[in-house]
Amino acid sequence: MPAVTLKAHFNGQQIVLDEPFALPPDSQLMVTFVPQPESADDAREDRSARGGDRELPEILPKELAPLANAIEHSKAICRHPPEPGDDSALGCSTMTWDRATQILIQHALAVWEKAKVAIRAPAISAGPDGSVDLYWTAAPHGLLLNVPADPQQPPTFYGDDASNPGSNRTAGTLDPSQPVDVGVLMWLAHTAGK
Amino acid sequence: MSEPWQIEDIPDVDLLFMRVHKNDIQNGNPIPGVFRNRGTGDQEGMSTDWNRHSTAEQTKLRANRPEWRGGVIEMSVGEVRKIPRQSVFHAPLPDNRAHTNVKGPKSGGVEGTQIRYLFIRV
Repeated sequence: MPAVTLKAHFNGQQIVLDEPFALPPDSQLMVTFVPQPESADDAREDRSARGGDRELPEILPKELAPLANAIEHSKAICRHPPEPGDDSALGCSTMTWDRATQILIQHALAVWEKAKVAIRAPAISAGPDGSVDLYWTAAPHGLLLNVPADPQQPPTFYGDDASNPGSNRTAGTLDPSQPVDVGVLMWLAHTAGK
Repeated sequence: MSEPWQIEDIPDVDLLFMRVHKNDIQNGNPIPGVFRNRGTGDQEGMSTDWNRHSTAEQTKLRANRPEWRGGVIEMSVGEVRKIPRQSVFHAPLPDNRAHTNVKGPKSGGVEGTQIRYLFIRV
């Protein structure tokens, strides 16, 4: 059986899979423990404690400098006007870009603080209908996270392992009440070292 | 040219060419946002050219404005048809016999994200 990534939680006594999966007896498992801040308020307090409006390079550890650079450079997707001949230019608002990069920073910091793994910088680009796309690729793995322009709509994600896309993939929506998504964290940690 | 081109069936083994503006390329690859529908009515879809009637260079030269700068990507018809809810239809225009639409949703919810992800991976 090929390797598969599954979501699970600890119910206080044992680890329980979030969705049924037929595991053969004595299967070898690798468990990744991903603590989360208790609430979005906690996350905001954490951000404030990290420096509030300070520049990214000051907030992020030096190991995440490539990520900080990618975020800084991506500001341009909100402000460059369409060039002559580009009649189909994509664009997004600063507000949507800010939501997307906050999600990115929160996930990067969570992976770094808990596992000391520096996630790779995604391609940050304008998506359809004013949304923002974050796309990671580290063959054979990839992940696309889309942040819609409408803040009432949850971000969505999809990723797979190209060598085994039928059974090793992840997909879902981000819960707005949770600053980080365990499934996304695991996938990012999975691709970081490639 | 205004010949009424016949609509043909496109085999899975053929290729589709699509222009990508230079601003929509990062690290040498198209960004996910380029995979989107345009147009209305019968011509709504993702606009491409079929390699039976076009070369990549001809596709590039079909940009509406001379100052357009970018490149051309190619996609396998069979791989595109494997993406959920996507279908490939020859839709010739009077001045472009190769014109082909890839129809089906490409945004909205988890499905839209999945579809654009799979387009990048084609």
